Amino acid sequence: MSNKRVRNLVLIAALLLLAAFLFFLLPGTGDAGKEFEVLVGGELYGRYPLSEDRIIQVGHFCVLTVRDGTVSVSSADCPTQMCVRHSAISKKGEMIVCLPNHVIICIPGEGDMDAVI
Amino acid sequence: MTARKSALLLCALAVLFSVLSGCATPDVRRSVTFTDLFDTVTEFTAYGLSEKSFDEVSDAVYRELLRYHRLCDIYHSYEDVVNLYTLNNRGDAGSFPLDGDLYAVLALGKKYYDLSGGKLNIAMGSVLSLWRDCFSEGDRIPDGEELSASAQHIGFDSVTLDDGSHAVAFSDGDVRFDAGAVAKGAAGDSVSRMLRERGVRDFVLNIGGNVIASGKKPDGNWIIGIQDPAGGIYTKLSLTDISAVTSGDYQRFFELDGTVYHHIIDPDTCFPASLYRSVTVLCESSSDADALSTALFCMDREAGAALAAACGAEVLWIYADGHAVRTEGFAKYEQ
Repeated sequence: MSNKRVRNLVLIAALLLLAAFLFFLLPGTGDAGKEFEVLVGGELYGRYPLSEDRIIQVGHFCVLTVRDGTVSVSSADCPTQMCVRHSAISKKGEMIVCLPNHVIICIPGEGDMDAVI
Repeated sequence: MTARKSALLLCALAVLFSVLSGCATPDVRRSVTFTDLFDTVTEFTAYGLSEKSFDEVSDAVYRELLRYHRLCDIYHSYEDVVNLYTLNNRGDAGSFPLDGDLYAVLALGKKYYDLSGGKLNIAMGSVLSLWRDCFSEGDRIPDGEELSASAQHIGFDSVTLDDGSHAVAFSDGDVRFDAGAVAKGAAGDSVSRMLRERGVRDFVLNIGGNVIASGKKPDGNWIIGIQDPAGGIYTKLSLTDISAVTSGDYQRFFELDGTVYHHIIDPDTCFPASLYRSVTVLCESSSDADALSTALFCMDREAGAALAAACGAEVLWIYADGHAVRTEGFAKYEQ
């Protein structure tokens, strides 16, 4: 085999490898541990790991507490306080909603589910 | 040799692009969430639309849902619309001509009132409003005397619907509508019709637990998770061209002195129904599925199963002890 041919094959192999690499990594299917999402007015406000204990201030709307793999609303600037009374969530597909403030705290379902009811 | 090298390079690039484009362009999933409709969270998801057409389509979805939201709003009036607020604050008895779609919502409620022996009752607004106040406040339940006084005015039989003129007439001045149990279903069916007219076939619309799974996604049927009332996912359904609705005691509730009060009120007791933790209904029309899930939540299983069979619906009942019963056809949809 000529040197050029070898180089060509190496080039093709490298490109295919790059394609495969991008194919598997770009859509972000990797399991990076359980996370929850905060949506405000339908827009993603933030995505946070459930594994990290912390307090999160969501604008002036509410304060979230992440503790022992669960997230709950510890206080909220809303008239009903239904989100504060909601128990802490920790499982895929669970969500807490504060409708007056249009805030949603949810743990995304398993990747294959299109809706959870 | 250079020509050959370039040809090889082009080949390799073609492979690279075909692999990359295969995972990106044609099968893009787009999704939008609304939080200001029907006092719940609505999510619309579709595949195969460009960003621009998805924006246009989701805007149309929002506008159609908003139209139903306003027609069935019991808290606000709107210019140029006779809605449930207008009807509930009618003052004098009399006859009121309605928008065809609002009339259809009331007719749907009447149909299932009759079919369910009054277990689905959208004319029990006077009772539901007492509970709704408690849900907002979360620290009391309705006063017993107020409840029994209101319960005197929940008979749908005192309401006359005229199919010809789309008019509604009342013989009981204190009857109030609350279409919470059917409005989302009716709105969903209307959105579904509108989308199909626009040529949008493959979508999922989830109006607060009221799902329409239309067409398919690129890799097959839509997958809908049914919540386990105890937490997590109880089962997954593989659906195409069908509606699924779950009524559950965990969807809206408050706790007082160790007792949980949820939002599905049995018209016969005027208290939350306690036969099941959730009832999931599958059938073609979202309106029917919506009405049935509430009705069945308050009906014993034998009567509920008979009604579901008559309506061509499949059902999953989940009990407080965690066991579940399903109709024969329901299992066929489970993954």
